[in-house]
Amino acid sequence: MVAWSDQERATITGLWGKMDIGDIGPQALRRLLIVYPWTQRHFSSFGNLSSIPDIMSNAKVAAHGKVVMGGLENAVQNMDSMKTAYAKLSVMHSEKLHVDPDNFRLLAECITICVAAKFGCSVFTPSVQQTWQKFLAVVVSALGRQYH
Amino acid sequence: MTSLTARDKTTVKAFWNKISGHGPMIGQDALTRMLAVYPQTKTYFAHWKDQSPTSESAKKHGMTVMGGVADAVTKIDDLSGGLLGLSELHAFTLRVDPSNFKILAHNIMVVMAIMFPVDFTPEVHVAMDKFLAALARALAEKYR
Repeated sequence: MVAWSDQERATITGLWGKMDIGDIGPQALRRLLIVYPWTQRHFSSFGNLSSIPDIMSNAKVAAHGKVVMGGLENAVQNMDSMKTAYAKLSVMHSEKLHVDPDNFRLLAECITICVAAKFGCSVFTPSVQQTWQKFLAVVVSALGRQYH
Repeated sequence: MTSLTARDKTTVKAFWNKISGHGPMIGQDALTRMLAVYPQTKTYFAHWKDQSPTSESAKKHGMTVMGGVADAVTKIDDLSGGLLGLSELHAFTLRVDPSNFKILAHNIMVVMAIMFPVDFTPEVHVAMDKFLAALARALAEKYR
C-alpha cells in the first residue's frame, strides 16, 4: 500500500480542486496522440487523425480526453485503495481494450506537461510536481495491475 | 526510433531561437526538478557537498547541461559527429545510465511548458521530444 503524508494529500486535493478536466483532459489526449502517434491504434473509430490540425480539431478526441481525465476523480477519492478502485477499469483496459500499459505512463507524462503549463511555476513547484507524479504513478500502476 | 525530419529540425531551431535567452534558467529549474522528483538521480552527484535540489551546485550544473543542449541545437544535422567529445565523456567517465537522459528530457520539457505555455504547442512538444531523444542516443553511442 502506498503511504501518503498529510501534505501530499492536501497537495493532490488542492490541485485537483483547481483543475478544469474539460480543458486539461482534451489537451492531454491530443498531446498523447501527437507526441506518441502509435497510441492512435486504439482510436480508429475516431475519424480523421492524420495530421496535427486534424487531431487538434477532432471532437471525439476532445470528448474522450474529458472522460479519461474525469476517471482521475476515482483516484483522488480513493488514494489509499487505488488498486481496488481501479480493478474493474484495469481488467477492461487489458481484456477488452488491449491497451499496452506503458501507454498509461505516456498519457501521465502528457497530463503532467499540460498541468505544468496551466499552473505555472508558482503553483507547480518541484515539490508539487513530485507529489503529482507520485500520484499519477500509483494510478498507472493500479490500471496495469489486473493484466496477466 | 525515428530520426529527425527536416520539419522537426526547423521546429526545434525556431523554438530554440525564441527561448535561448532563458536557457540557463531552464537548465537550473529542470535539474532542480529532476533531483526533487527522481531522487535516484542524486546518486550521480555524491561528490557535491550539498545534493539538495536547490543547491548552488545543482543550479550551476543545470546551466552546464543546458549549455550542452544549446550546442546540440547548432549541431542538429549531425548529433553523433558533433557531440563526439561529450559522448566519450558520458561513456567512459560519467557512465550515466541512459535511462536518466529520458528523465532529464521530461523535466526540461515540463519547464518549457511552464515558461512558454503558448509556444510549447503539441507540434513543438513532439519535435523537442524527438530531438532530446536523438541527443540522448548520441550521448550513449559509445557506451558499448
